[in-house]
Amino acid sequence: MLFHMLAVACWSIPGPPTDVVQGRAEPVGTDHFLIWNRTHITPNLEWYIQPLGFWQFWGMFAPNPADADIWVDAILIYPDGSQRIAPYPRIREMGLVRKYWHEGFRKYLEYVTPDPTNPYEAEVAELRRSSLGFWLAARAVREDPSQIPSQVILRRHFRLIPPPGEPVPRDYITYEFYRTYLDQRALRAIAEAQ
Amino acid sequence: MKFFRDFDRVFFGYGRAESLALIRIILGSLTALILLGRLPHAEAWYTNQGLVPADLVRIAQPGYFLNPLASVDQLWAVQLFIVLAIVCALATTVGAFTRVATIGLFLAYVFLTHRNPFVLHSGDTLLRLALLYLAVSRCGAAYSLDRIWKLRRLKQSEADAEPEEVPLWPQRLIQFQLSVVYITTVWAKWQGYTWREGYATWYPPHLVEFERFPVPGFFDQQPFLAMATYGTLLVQLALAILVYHPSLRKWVLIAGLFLHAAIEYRFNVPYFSLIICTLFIAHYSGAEVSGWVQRTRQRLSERFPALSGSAVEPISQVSDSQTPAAVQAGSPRKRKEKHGATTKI
Repeated sequence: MLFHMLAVACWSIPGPPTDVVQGRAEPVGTDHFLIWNRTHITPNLEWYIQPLGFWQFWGMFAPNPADADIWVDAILIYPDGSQRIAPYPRIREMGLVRKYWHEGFRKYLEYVTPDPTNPYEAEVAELRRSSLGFWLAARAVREDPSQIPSQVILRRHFRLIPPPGEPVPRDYITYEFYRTYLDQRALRAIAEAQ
Repeated sequence: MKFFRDFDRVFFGYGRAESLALIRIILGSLTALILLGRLPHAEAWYTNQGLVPADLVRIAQPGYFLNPLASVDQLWAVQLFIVLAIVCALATTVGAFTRVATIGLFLAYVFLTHRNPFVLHSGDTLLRLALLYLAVSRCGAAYSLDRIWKLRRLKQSEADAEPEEVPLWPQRLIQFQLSVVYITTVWAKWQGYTWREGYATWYPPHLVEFERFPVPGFFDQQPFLAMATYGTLLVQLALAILVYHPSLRKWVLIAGLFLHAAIEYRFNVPYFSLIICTLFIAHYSGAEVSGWVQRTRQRLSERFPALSGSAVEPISQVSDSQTPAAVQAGSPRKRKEKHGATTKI
């Protein structure tokens, strides 16, 4: 039990500040302990913490709350050149109960942004984005099996929230962050199953 | 030596199971609701045709994670798995075959988590850990069908039977887990300049995806921003440390309830506040919870006599001598002299 408590405590201790990790600042005070914990202790606890789901991190709104308000949708392009917008579930537009059950969709978008600490980031980002694109296209095909899109463009809409005292922009900036061709055979199979 | 004796008594002592049982009932029902909410998204979240193919999890989260659902791709199989998990959650709630149900529920939750960790938030993490502590506890020893069946076998009534004594270390682990949550979140927040400079609470209300119910505009102006920012840190720190002091426990937990009620009212962070507030019950002994349940039952039967089928048991003297807070305050006798014998929640 004592080992479990120690392991959980070490695992949950936050990592060193981002500035220290990225070399923009020298470690001071407890930063040395946090670096030592991350490099020497937590890697040796993985065998115990990971398999049965004892892992945890409690950085809610930390170290700073997010200052970018983001939502995502996609443009589906059909072989005849026509286009259609495929919406991704947006929590803001849902009622109180649906918000409870759809939170996972909002959370998923946090992971579509790049993670520079993952050595396989390029592969992960590609898989995440292609999965998101295909899923949105498959939803559209289920709604209208007569049309199979050939390409998908993922778009991010965002606005940065300034510090207090400055006006908060109302408009969102939109940009395309991923474009790919879609697996026609898989989409046709979905259409035929409808 | 006294310290080790006290430590042994607090962590490895025995006591009544009502606290764990109440946590079991509330978390069991919440888990059933959460899992029910995942059923319509089973394809999107747990199959290779959805947002997170199994390969993505293998690459994005390398490690020793037990992930048997990675090899399951049929939608019906995933749905069946979730339905079985819901059955375990319902059995946990009513306390039927509690040990099997809680272990099954914990494992099911872990497997769903490892199949797709990218749709989970802090509430899911806390729930998974709480289910672990319930699974290793004897939380079915009170307020459960298991208890009723056992008494029936022994031909005893609830009024005649002695309450069961169960090991308290799982309850202590829940208390410790709460301290870890609060102390590490304060630590992580203190690394951020917005928290140190007193305006971190400005940002979340402007993220429209978090919106729930509105508050007057002045709440988002100084000095209210600083009060909310530093107040959050202070209350969280108190919930990690001061809650163990017997005279402060009630006030710290009330402050915690206010903090989480405010979060629940204002922000869409589903279930987190409900789950963590349920775990606050672990700071009370089984005897205290039992006293509270009896008083509530008596009040209800007085107000709605038609609803009460049987005579209400008399309120027993409630002692919280099993809590760490009590140990810190000295012997039960000493405390009785200091605070009186009965503690109310």
